[in-house]
Amino acid sequence: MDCRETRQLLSAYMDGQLENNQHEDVLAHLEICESCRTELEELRETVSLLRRLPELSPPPEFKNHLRHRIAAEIENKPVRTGVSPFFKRRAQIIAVAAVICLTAGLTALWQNFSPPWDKKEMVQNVSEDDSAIEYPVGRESGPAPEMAGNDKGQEARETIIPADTGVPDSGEINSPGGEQVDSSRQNKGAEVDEVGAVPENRGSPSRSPGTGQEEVTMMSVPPSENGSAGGQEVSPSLDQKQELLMAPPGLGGASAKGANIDKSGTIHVTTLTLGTSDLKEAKEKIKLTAEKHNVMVINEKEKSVTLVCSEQDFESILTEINKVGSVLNRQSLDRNVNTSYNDICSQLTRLYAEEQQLAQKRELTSVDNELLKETKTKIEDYEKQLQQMDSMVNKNVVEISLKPF
Amino acid sequence: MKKYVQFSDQQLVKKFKDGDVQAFEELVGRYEKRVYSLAYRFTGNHADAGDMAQEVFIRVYRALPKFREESSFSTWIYKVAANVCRDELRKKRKRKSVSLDDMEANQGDFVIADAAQSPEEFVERRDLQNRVQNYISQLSEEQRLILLLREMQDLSYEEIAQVLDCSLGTVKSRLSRARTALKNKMKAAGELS
Repeated sequence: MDCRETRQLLSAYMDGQLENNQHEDVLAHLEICESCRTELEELRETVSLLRRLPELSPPPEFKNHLRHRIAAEIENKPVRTGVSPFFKRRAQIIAVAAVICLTAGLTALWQNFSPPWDKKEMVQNVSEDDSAIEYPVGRESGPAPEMAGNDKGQEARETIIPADTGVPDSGEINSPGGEQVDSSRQNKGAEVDEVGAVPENRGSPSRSPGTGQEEVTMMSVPPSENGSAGGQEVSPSLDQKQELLMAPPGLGGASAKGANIDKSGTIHVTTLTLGTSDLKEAKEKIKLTAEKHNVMVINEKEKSVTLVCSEQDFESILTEINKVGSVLNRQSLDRNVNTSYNDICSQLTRLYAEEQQLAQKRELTSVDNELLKETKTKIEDYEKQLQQMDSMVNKNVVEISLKPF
Repeated sequence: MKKYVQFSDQQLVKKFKDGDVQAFEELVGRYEKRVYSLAYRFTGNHADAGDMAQEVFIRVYRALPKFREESSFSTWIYKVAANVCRDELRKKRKRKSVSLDDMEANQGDFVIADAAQSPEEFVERRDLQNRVQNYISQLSEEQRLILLLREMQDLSYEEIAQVLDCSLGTVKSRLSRARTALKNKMKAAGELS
C-alpha cells in the first residue's frame, strides 16, 4: 500500500471503520512511513479541535416563537380529511396550544427588557471585533419583543416555510437505536430543600419596563432590596439582574445606562517567562512585590503566578519582577473581552429567566427542584466569572511563568 | 412536562400522533440544542441558525403524523435538519445574497465557560473556537454537513448514511475528504502543532 492509498483510508482507520485486511495494511504502512504518521496525527488533532466545540443553546425566546408558529399552524391549517388522527382532533389541539401559549407568557415576562446588544448606546460603542453584540437571534426569533414583532420578522416567517416541507420520506430510513435524551432533563430525582430552593417574587410581573432604573453597582449585587414578599432575603429581582447585565465589562453599574460607555473592554495580557534557580524564592518575591504594590494575585500554580494591576503600577511592578530572575521571554497582547462578556451575560439572562420560570410554578416537583438547584449553581458560576472578568478589564494581567535552571 | 421525561422518543412520537401536543414540546426540548448547534455550525451565524432550527421543528411538526418510525426519531430529525441546511443554502444562492463574508462572518459562539477557567483561558478558548468555526465555514456544503454530523453530533457511519441518503462507502470517502480539507486549512493557518 502506498502513501496515496493509505491517506485515503486514514479517516476510516481513525474511526475503526476499515475491514481487517485494510486495517492491517494501513498499520503496516504507518510503521514505515513517517509522513503518513504525521498526516494521521494532524487529522486526529483536527478532529479533536472540532469535537471540542461546545454545544450551543438556542436563544431563550426560541421555544416561545416556535410555540407561536405552531399555534398559528394549527389555527390556519384547514383540516384535511383522511389525515392523521392528530389533525382530526384539531379543536382539542387548539385548546392545548392555547394553554401552551399561556404558559409561554411566563417566559415573556422577562422579555420586556432590552438586552445589552439592543441598546443603542451599546451598539454605538461596540468595538469592531465584537460582533457577538448581535446576539444569536434569528431574524424571526428576535431577541426582544420590539424586534420580534416587526414587519421584517413577519416577512421572514412567510418566506421560511416552503410549500414543500422537504421532510424525508419517513419510510426510507431504518436506523438502529439513537434514542437520546437530553441529560439535563433526565434523572433529576434527587430531592432538595423544597422551600429554601424557591426564590419567590423574583422579577415581579408588575414591573414596568423602563422604570426603576436605580443605580446598581455592576458586580455588587444589592442585598434584599428587591421587593421580596415578607421581607425574605432574596437575590436581586429579574429586572435588576438584567439591568446589571446591561453594563459593559469593567464599567460598573453607574455607566450601565449608558451615555458615556467606554467602548473598550480590553484586558492587557503580558506573559513573562523568568528563569530562576530557586522556584520557591522567586514566587515569594513576586508575591511580595504584588503585596507591596497592593495588587491582586489571581492565580498561583506551582510554576506560575498571575497578577492584575493597573496601568499606573504596571511598569514599576514589571521592573521589580524582572529582577527576580532572568527574563527568557516577554509578550504582550490586548484582548477585547466584550464578546465573551456578552456571552456570559446572555447565558445569565437565560438562566435568570429559567430560574424565574421555575420559581413561579405553583408546585415544584423534585425534578424542578433539582433543575432550580442546577440553575442557581450555574448562575453563581457565571456571576463569579463576570466578577472576575470585571476586575481585569482595562487592567494589566501579568502571567509570570517560572522556569527552573 | 415533567411526566414526559420518562418517555422514550418513540413513545413521545406515538403520543403526539394521538394528539398530545405536549409530547412534541418534550421532543423539542430534547433536540433543540442539537439542532441549533448543527444549524449554527453549518451557517456560521446565529441569525440564520435560529431561523433554520425553527424551520426544522416546524417541518418535523408537520410531518410527524406521517412518520412511519422505520428509523429512530433522532436519525429522522437529523435528516430533516440536513434538508433544511441544504435548502437554506439553495435559497441563499438563488437570492445571490450569499457571500463568502456572510458565510465566514462569525457572530461569536456562546461558549459555556468552565467556572474553573480564568478569563484569559476563557478568551483564548473562545478565540480558538471562533477560528475553528471559520475554517468549517470555508468547506463545501456537503463536507460541512458530514463533518458536523460525525464530529459534533456523534452519529455513526450508518446513521450518517441514512441521514444523507448515501452508501457507507460514500460516507467514508466524503468524511475523509472533509477531514483532510479542514486539516489542510488549519495547517495552512498554523493551527496544528
